[in-house]
This record gives sequence, C-alpha cells and structure tokens, in this order.
Amino acid sequence: MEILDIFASAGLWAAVLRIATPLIFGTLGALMCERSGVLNLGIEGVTTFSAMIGWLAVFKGTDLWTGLRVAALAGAAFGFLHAALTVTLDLSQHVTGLGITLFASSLSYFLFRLIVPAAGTPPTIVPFQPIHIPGLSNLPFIGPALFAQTAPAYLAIVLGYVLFFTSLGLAIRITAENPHAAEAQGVNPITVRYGAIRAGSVLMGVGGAFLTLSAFNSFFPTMVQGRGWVCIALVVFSSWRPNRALLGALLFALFDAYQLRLQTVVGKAVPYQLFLMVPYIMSIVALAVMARRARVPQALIRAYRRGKQ
Amino acid sequence: MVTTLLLNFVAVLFVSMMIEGPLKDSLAFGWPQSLPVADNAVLPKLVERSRLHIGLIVAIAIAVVVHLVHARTVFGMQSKAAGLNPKAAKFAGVPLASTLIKVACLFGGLAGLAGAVEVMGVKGYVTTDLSPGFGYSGIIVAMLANLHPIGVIAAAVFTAATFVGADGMSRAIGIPTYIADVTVALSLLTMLVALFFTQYRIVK
Repeated sequence: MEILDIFASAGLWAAVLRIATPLIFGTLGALMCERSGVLNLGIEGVTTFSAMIGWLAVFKGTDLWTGLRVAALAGAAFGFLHAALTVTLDLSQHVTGLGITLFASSLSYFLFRLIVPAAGTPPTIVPFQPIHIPGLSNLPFIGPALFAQTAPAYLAIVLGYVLFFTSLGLAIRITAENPHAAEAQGVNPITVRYGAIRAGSVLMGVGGAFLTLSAFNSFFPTMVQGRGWVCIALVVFSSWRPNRALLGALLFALFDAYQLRLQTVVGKAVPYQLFLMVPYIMSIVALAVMARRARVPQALIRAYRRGKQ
Repeated sequence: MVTTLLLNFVAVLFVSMMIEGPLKDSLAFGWPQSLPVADNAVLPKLVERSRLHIGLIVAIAIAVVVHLVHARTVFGMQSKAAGLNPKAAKFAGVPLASTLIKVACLFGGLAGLAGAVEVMGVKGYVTTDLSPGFGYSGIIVAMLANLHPIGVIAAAVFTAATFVGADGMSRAIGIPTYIADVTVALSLLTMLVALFFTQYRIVK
C-alpha cells in the first residue's frame, strides 16, 4: 500500500516537526493568554508581523538571533496593545483581537512593500541551519529532526511546569477562573493579565519568526495562512493544557504533512484543493468534538473591573 | 467563531477547485478564472460607461430593510435580546438556538449576495482573489457604524473612499495600496476606544 508507505519515510516525520514548531509556539502563546482569562484573536496578525519584522531585520543585515529578538519584541508590543484595549479599557476581546489581526497584518504587508521593492521572486536570507550532532543526527527517524525540535518541545514542558506547579502559575490560573477571588488573595488580576498576554504574544511572535527565519527563507503576504486560527482551535482541543497542546499541534502537523505527501500519490484523481482543505476541516471537527468535554476557564472573555461583580 | 475563520480557507479552496475544474474559462490563457457571467445575468448599469451598477441600490435597500427588521419586528427584538444578554433572553422566552441560527443564515446570505453582486455587476467572472478582504472590511464597517444598519451606508462609503484613495496614491506616488488596510484597521481600533469613552465617565 503506497498510502501507508508514507508513514515509514523519515522525511514525513521531519516535516511533521517542521510544521508543528510554529504551531506549538502559537498554541502555547494563545493558551498562555487564555489561561489568564483573555482571548487573543490578534494571534494571526502578531504571527504575520513578527514573521515580517524578524525577516526584515535579518534582510537588513542583523544576525538571526537579533532577528528573533526583534520578532519577540514586536509580539510583546502587540500584546501590550491588546492588553491595554481589553484589560484596561474592557473592550470586546473578539473585536479587538480581529482588529489587531487586521492592523498587524496590513501593517506588515505595507512596511514590507515600502521597504522591499516588488520583484518577481521574493528576496531571500540565509535561515537557521539544522544542527548536526555527530552520531545522534545519523539515527534513523529521530536524528535529523529531534535537535531542531528540542526548544519548542521543552518549552511546552516548561510552560506546563510554570502553570501547574508554581505559585506564579496558580496566580495566572486563578485569574482566569475568578479574578475577584484572586484579588482577595493579594494577586493583582490586571498585572497578571498584562503579563500573561505579553508573554503569550512573545511566544506567538517567536512562532512567526520561525516561519521566516527557519522554515522558509523569505516573507510573502498571506504566508501565515490561518495558522493563528488553527492555534486558537488547538487550545480548545487541548482543554487549555500545555501537554495536550503539544500533542494536538503534532497531530495536526502529521495530518498536514501526510496530506502533502498523499497529493503526490493519488493527486491525479482528486483535485489538490481537497487535500489543502483537510487540515482546516480537521481543526473544525476536533473543535466540535473536544469543545463538549473541555473545561473552559470560568472567567475567559470576561473583563475584570475592581469592585464590580 | 474560530470555525468561521477556518471555514474561510475551505471556501476559498472550494472556489479555486471549481474555477480550475468545471467552471474554467478555456479562453483565459491559463489564468485561473471562471467562464464569464451570461449576458442577461449582468446587472444593469446606473450610469452609462461607468462601473456603477444597480447593486448599489440593492445594497441601500437592504440596509433599510435590515434596519426595519431590526427595529420594528419581533425577530429583530429577539436577536437583539439574544445578543445583549442570552440568559435574560432565554428567561423571557426567546428561542436562543433558532434565533442564532436564523441570524447566522441571514448574515451568510447577505455576504453571499455581496459576492454575487460583485461578480455580476463589476467583474463578470470569478477568481480566487475576487475579494480583497471584503469580509474583514465588513466587520470593520459594522463596527464603524456602531452596529446600526443605516450607519453602515456611511461607514461603507468611508471605507470605500479610503480604498479608492489608496489606489490613487499608489498610482500617483507609488505608495503601497496596503496603506488603506492599515488606515481602516486603525480606524476600527480608534472607534472601539472612542465608543468606550462615550459609554463611561472618568470618575475621580
């Protein structure tokens, strides 16, 4: 069976990890925001802007790590904007998030077009190179991808630890469940939400930077392709738990990598657009199935105002 | 909510599939676009030799109808109640699920009408890049109009003027047309903040 042979190729598993990395960052970022009680639909725009600005920094001559830092900083800036609008001003989190997405993505296209003149082929940079560790890299399956992958995978573990085993994590989670109770315990919900949204947006920014600094070597409009929305769906799928978010992102990436390869096997008989639809439909199905069982943070999307229930 | 954002991509891919398959225009030199709209289905023009077509009148009429439904009918009242406070609406006997489904279908229908009018009035054929973000602009227009159907007309004219102006700027001095999207998105965020200050007073 050709269709099953795909699973035996090391290329598939390397692709899974490559596709999953920005999703893991993005999902953990969105999860971080939602665990403090704020839905951040700005994720799509923040990812786009960070992808652009990180790439632009490297294109203009800085090194890759500086590019990554610039992208993270951009994420923090948009996170601050989202926090100011939703936490301090108590505006609708849905509309603000969409507004930030529209603003950030159009701003990144605008700056990109302004600074980089239109060309037939988009200009490129030299991206992060895969790290080769003698001996380990030659192991079948695990070797090639594992070491590029350690950072985000460990990040999920670290985030899980912080959220569930430290007092800081408890403060964040209680803010999402009942900010009034948090306040009574001496936790300032506003500070916590500002911090969590900024930290989450930094993660989204790093995920975006991964797209242009590692997965591809150029930036082009619409390159984020709804990955942000997929991340939001994955957060629900994971029931707001970092370990399941990691699993969900990997599962999603497996579907995506599999459909790409399936296209080459049975692509003649079926229009390729059907394959491209699969990941989006998968997220919707997963959302519909898991949303029933998920335990939603009780104060998610609910603004906190001092002295007002 | 996120479902609709994801369905966007599914819908665009479906259009892409149709215009590269059954609806492909064989005379389009390989460009992915559909066969032209039949002559008797093209919307009549309002002003000769311009692109202004009868869709404008339809749009304004619909704005008025939506306003009347929203302000004067039981269904309008129910949908408003469901939006403002679902729990209270349910307590008062509003069928929440069916109201929401009806509103979603109506809204989908109107969005579909927008696409059909654009194809039948202006373009004459279907491509995947038919809509330069009309859907997202719709959200912005609705917020700029403070969710009032008649205000939508003014907000839509403002947004359209921004886009047309950016096209002109792009042709004249080479500014990227994305400046329009930036302006409109910023106006949305500004409007949100402005609305906040119309509803609250600063207490010392």
